[in-house]
Order: sequence, then C-alpha cells, then structure tokens
Amino acid sequence: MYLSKDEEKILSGEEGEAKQLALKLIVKVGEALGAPRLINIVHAHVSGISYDNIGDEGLQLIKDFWRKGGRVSVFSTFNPAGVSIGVESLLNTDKKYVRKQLEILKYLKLMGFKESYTCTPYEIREPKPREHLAWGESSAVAVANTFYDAYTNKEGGPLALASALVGKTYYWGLHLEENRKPNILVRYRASYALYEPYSGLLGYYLGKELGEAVPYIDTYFPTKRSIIDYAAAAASTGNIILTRAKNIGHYDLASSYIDKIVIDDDVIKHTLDEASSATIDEVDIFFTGCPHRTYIDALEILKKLERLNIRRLSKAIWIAIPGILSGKLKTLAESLAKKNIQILPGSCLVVSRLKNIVDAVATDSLKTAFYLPRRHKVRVAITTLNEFIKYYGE
Amino acid sequence: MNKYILKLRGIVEGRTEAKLLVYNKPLSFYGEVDKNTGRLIDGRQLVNRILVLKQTRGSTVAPYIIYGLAKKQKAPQAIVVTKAEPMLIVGAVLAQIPLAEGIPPGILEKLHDNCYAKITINPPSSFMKIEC
Repeated sequence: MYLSKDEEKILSGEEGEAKQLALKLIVKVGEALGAPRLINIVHAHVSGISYDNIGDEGLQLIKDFWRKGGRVSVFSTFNPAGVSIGVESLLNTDKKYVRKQLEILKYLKLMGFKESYTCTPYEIREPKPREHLAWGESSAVAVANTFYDAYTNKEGGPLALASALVGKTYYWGLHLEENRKPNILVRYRASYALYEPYSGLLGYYLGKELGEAVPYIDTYFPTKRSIIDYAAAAASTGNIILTRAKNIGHYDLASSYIDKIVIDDDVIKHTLDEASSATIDEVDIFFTGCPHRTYIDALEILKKLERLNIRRLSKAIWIAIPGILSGKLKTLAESLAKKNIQILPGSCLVVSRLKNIVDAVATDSLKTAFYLPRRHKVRVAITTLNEFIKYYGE
Repeated sequence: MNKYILKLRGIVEGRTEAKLLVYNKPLSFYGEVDKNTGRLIDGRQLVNRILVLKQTRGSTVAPYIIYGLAKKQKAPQAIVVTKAEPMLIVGAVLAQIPLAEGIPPGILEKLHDNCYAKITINPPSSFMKIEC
C-alpha cells in the first residue's frame, strides 16, 4: 500500500502509540483487502460500544487506546449504549452493568468523542455528497451512502475507532465510484406505498434475498424516514449498504443490469409473516426508534394522542431517541410518561439486556424485528404506531 | 515423517514455534471460543499452539475476544489461515499475535495436532516449516 510521508511518520510512532496502533489496524486490513492507499475522512462514527456486546475486553481496549494517548483527530460520534443516560429506565437493572457501560462512555468522551449516543449520526452532522466517512453502525452507513450519497464502508469492530484517531481509512469498497453503480434491478410491483412498515419489509426481503448488492429500485420512497427504515432493514438481514431508486441517486436506467428481481404483494405478505412471531394482543409494549427517532417525532406522538383525546395507553410505547435526558427532552418525557410513553434516550432495545423485561414487542422497525428474536429471544409483532394506539388507547 | 516448507503472506509480524492446533471448520471467536479459558467448543486449548485453519467467521466482537485472550495469556502463539478476514486481522494486530495467510487447503487437510511448526513472519513475507 502506498503511504504518504505523514502516514509513514504515524506508523513509525512519531505521533504516539495510540495513533500508531490505530493506523496499523487500518493499513493491515486495507492491505489484505487490496486497497492501494488511504483516504482522509471527515467524520468517524463508532458502533460496538454497548457493554452487553463488547464486554470487559472491549472496555479494556477502549481504555488502553485512551491510556496510550488516543484523541480523535476528526469529528467523531458514537452509537447508542446499552443503558439510558440520565433516566431511571427499566433497562437499567443491573448496577455492575451500568457502571461498566458508563466507564466505556467515559473513555470515549475523554478521547474527544461528541457525547452523541446515537445511531443516526447524520442528524448531528449531515454528510455532504461524496464526502468520505468511516462509520460503523450498519443502518447509518446505509443511510449515508443511500440518502446522502456520502462514501463509507461498514467499519466493523474497532476500525471506526481507529479511523477516529487518525482521520483516515483505507481507499476501498464504496469509497470508489466504480463500486457504487447499481448491479441489480428491483421491479417494485406491490400495491403498498413504501410507508412504514412496508419500506422496512422491502429492505428485510432484499437483504435476505440478495445478501450483498447495490440495488436499483424502480419506485419512489415517499419520505426520508421510509429510506431510513428500508436501509436499516436491508443492512441487517443482508449487507446492502447502498441502494438507488427513482428519487435516490443519479443513475440512469439505460445501463445494463446483470439481474432483475420482481417484488409483488405476495413477496411483501410472505415477508411480513416471516418477520412476525407474535400478534398485537400478545405484546407488552410498542417500540419505535430503531434507527433512532427524533425529538420532533416524540413530540408528534404526544400531539397525536391529544388530538385523538387519548388519556392514556393501557400498554406502553417506548421511543428510542439520541442523546441524554436533559433540557426540553426531560420536560417532554414527563408529559409523555403521563400517557404511558417512555423515552429511552441514547439507547435502544437491540443493544440492551432484555431478559425478563419483555416477552413480546410490537414494532414498526424491521431491524428490531430481525434482531430481537435472535439476540434476546423476544417475540415480535410488526405494526404501526397508529394501529397500536387504536388498539391500546383509552 | 512428513515435512512441509511453506511460503505464506505475512500480515502481523513475529516468530515462534509450537505444536499445531488444526481446526477444520470456519471458526467464530464469538461463540466458539471461551473468552476466559481460551478453550474451543470442542475442549482444545489455544494457548501454546499455532492455530491453523481455513478461515474465521468475522463477528465484529471477535477483535475484542482475541484481544482479551491475549491479555489473559490464553491466546495462540500464532494464527495461520488460508484467507484472513478483516476482523481476524484487527484482532491479531491488537493482540500482537503473529498472523499469516495463504496456507493451501490441500496441505491443511494433511495436518493434525501432533505436527510441530516453526514460523517466521516479516510482512509481507512469511515462512513456515512443519513436521508431522
């Protein structure tokens, strides 16, 4: 791999042990993949920071990077944690677990990470087209490539952390324009408009069916949220982290596609059956916010209940949103709590410990529907917020 | 006694000698290696061995587990694979475990745990001598 003089200096340890180790990680992986050189990035986003996922070994590693002098050299954010910060949440049951999680977060902050607790880093800093990033969270990677046309691979394990420290990644994969062309045509012939949960169902199916691909879908995604839900699902069931559609990207249909696939109503219905393992009357809660919802989304839910004259829900809604519980979010959370709606700031169900907390969950997130049964043995009903409110509103 | 002299592609530097531990299936460090004892699910110990296998399955948690094994001195002496995937490379760099790729599958299937090997890795080159 070609390295510039500055990069050689980092690799020889002139800028400290942490940067040396970080660059070594990137170079070794880049060389194995056949990358010709490195590329500067403008934003690193680190996933894999939930104590439930990475354990004591992960904590130790992050601490060691800090101890060796690791400090971020570009704008850097991190994923939701396994606990909610600033709130006595149902998820925060085990004291040791909370303490270890807070320790991981402490070292990230000491290294200069923005206190983000988010799986939607694009809401903090919107990527510009053709900007190079090094992001780890699969749904965010898919949204960055698809919605923003920014360039990032899915950086697993500590690679995004290494990129945060040196501001570089290997020039490979989706950083190269030639790998960003659609290679399969998806003919969307189903009658469902791609609002939730249908955009998620489409993503769920395509991820499973195609594995790794850059699809072009010959339809329109009606909202940014519909793209987010689609992208998160497709990056969970498969490794689709870039998609083009009629209103996404700048590709013309004249180019030849190697393969075609047709999505009709049967495919969508079958996917719904496959992803469902509970019915709405069996669930303990409704969960939305995977990927994270926004403060505005949470406010909209409150307004909706008020409009519908619903005093309270007989079963709770949990909403995961970025950050920590403070300021106006705290006030909103108090109003929501009266309606039996709980905010989970800076966390999410997928990365938390759920044993003995819930048995079945209703959700509009197909990413959640994919991971909860697999990671937590929790059953899932796929529905929309409106349907849930209709069912459980009093 | 069979002797093999192999030219491999070195990824993480180092030099060591030990008995082999040959694993015939794709290995996932997340779920198939006890992170506290360094034992495989079949009960064999990684420590003091050169782990030889075709490939690892790349969980993003794998680097942390490999790093943790090294900290607890339960990691193998070196790892030799047919093709290295990114999470194995990250783990080996962090844990400073010598790593090389390029062992031919045809030779791999002739090896067993009683073989003894010497390996020198000086990236990008690497040599391995095996006696069985």
